[in-house]
Amino acid sequence: MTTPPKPQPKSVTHDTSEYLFFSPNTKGLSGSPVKIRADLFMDFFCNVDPETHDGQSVIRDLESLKIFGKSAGQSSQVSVPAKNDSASHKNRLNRIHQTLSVLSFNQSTSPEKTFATKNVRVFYRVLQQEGDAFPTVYISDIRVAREGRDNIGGLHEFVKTMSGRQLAKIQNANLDSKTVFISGACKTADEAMKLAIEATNSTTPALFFCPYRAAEELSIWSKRRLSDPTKDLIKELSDLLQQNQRRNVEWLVSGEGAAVLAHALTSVPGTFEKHSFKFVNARANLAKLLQDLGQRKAQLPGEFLDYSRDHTALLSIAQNSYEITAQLKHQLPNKRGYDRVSHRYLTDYFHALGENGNAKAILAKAASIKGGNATFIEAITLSHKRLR
Amino acid sequence: MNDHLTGPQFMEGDLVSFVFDESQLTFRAPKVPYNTDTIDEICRERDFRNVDTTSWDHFGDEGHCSKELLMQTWNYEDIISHDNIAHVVLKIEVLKHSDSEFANCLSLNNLTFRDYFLASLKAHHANSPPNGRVYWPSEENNFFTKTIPGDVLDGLQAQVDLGGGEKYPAPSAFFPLGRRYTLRVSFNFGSLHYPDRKNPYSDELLHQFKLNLFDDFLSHIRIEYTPETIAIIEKLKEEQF
Repeated sequence: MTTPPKPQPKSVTHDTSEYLFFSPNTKGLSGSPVKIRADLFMDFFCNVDPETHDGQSVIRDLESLKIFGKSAGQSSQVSVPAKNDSASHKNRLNRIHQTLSVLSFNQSTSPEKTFATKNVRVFYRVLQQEGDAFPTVYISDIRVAREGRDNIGGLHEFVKTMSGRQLAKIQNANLDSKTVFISGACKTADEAMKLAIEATNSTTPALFFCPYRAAEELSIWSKRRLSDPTKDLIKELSDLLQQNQRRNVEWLVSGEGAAVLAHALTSVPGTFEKHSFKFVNARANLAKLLQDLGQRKAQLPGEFLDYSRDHTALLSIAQNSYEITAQLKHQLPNKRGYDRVSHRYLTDYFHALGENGNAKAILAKAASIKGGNATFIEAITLSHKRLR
Repeated sequence: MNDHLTGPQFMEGDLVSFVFDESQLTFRAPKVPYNTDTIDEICRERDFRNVDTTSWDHFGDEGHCSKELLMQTWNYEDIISHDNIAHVVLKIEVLKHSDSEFANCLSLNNLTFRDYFLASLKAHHANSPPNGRVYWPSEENNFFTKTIPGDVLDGLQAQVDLGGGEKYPAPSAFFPLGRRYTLRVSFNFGSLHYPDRKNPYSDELLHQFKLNLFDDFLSHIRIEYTPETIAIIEKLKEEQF
C-alpha cells in the first residue's frame, strides 16, 4: 500500500523567510502580527506612495488586519515554552510540534480571505507557522484596483455625427496608413484619447485603450492569472496585428500598453516589415519585446524609445539594463543615415537610465529585504525617498 | 485675461472666401503663432459649386458627409512665464445634408434648422450624461444653445461633448449655407497641466475665456446668399405665417 502524496499548501509558503513584518505597528505588540511576502515589494512600491494621504490610508487599513488574527493569549503557552531539557519535556514538545504541523497544514489549505481597502485588495491567511509566537496574519498577494478598471478596452476612434464627433469602440479593423496609440492604463477611453491626441499630434488618432484591469494583471514584477476581459483585450490586439500584418501601420505604445503588445505578439506568427513601433515609458520587459520585434523585422525608427520621468518605467529599465543595452547595441539591424546618430544617442541614454543609482538601489532593496531588520513599510518609505 | 495670454488676434486674421451653390462664405483665418507641434491647414479648393462629394468624409447611413475647410491648433502662452496654458483646436467644416433634408429646405427656416440640430445634439449626447456637472450640455439646459442673429438666416451656437477627454464641453456653431450645406465651427480648448507647477488659470476661468474667444471668432463670419435662395427663404417665411 502506497501512501498518498502529501498535498502542498496553495499560496502561503512554509518558508517563513519569504515573509517579513508589514510595519513597526504590526510586530505583535498589540493585536496579531501581520507579515507580508517579500516579493510583493516592487508591486507595492509602484502602486502605493507612503508620502501621500491615499498611500497612508491604505497602509493604515492594512495594519488594521492585526485584529483578524486570534488573540495572542490562546496559544502563547504552547508556542513559547520555558527552557526545559528533560526527556519527558522533549517528548511532550515533539507531540505538540506534530499537532501544530497538522494544524498549520489544515489552516494553510483553508480558503484565502480577502480584505479590500481604499484601492487595494489583499489576500491573507491566519496561520501559526514555525517560529511564530502567535497566530499571524500572512499577506500573500496584493491587487491595486482603480476606478474604471472594468471599462471595456480595445480599439476606439472618433465617429462623426452632424453635431460633432463621438468617441466609440469600433469594429473596423483596417488600420492602413494609420497611427495607432496603445495607451497605458487609463480610467476612461476619453482620458486615453486625450493622451493619444497629445502624443500623436493628430486630432483624430486611432486609440487602443487599455483599462486599469490590464495594468493590474500584466504587472512587470509578478506573473498573475489573466482574467477574461484582459485575455479578450490581448486577443483583440492580436487580431488587429494579424489582419493588418501586410498594411502600413505606425504604433505608438505607452506604459502598460507595451505589456499588452508583448502578450499579443506571442500569438501572431510572421514578420512585421510594414509596421513601425515607438515606445514611451514602456512598462514591460523591454529587452524581450525589442528582441521579438527585431526578429520579426519590425521598423524601429530613430529615437523609438522614450522616457519621461515615469518611475515604474525607470525601474523596469534598470532591472533589465544589461539586456536592453545588448539589444540596442548588437541585436537590432544596423541603422542608416541620421538614424545611426539617433540610435547611438538612444543607446547611451538608455544605458545611463539603466545604470541610475537610485533605481538600482531600490531593486537591490527589493532583493535584500528578506534578511534585513527593517519592516516592509520602512523599506518602502526609505526607497520612495530615493526617487524624489 | 487677454492681456495675460498670447495667441492669435482674430480681427487680424486673413480673409478667406468659399463659394457654394447658394451662398458665399467669408471668415478670418487666424494667423497661427509659432508654437511647437501646431497644425495650420486650410482647404485649397474654394469653389464648391456643383461639387463632386464622393471623396468627402461620409458618415451615418442617411447620406451625410463633410469636408474640412480649416484645421488649426495652437497653444495660448502666459505672457510672462511663457508656460503653455491651453491647447486650442479650431475646426471649420462643411456638412452636406441628405436628399430628403435638401428637399424639405430645413436649413432655410430658422425654426426647422434649430429643431434639426437640437434633435441631433440630443442623440449625440445620449451616452454622455451630465452626472451632476451643471456646466455639461444636456437636454435640460438645451445644450446651452443660443441664436446667432444673421441678416437673412440665423446661426445656432451650442456646447458639445467632442469626446477628447476635456473637462468642459466645446462651443460649436452651425450656420446654414443653403439647402444642401451647413457650416460647422468647433473650438476645442484644453487646459495644459504641469505636474510640478500650479496652473494660475482655473478650468472655470479658461472655459469662460474660451466662450469669449469663440464669440469673437464668430463675429467675423459673413454669409451672403444668392438672390434665388433669398427668394426661397422669403417664400418659406410667408408660408409659415
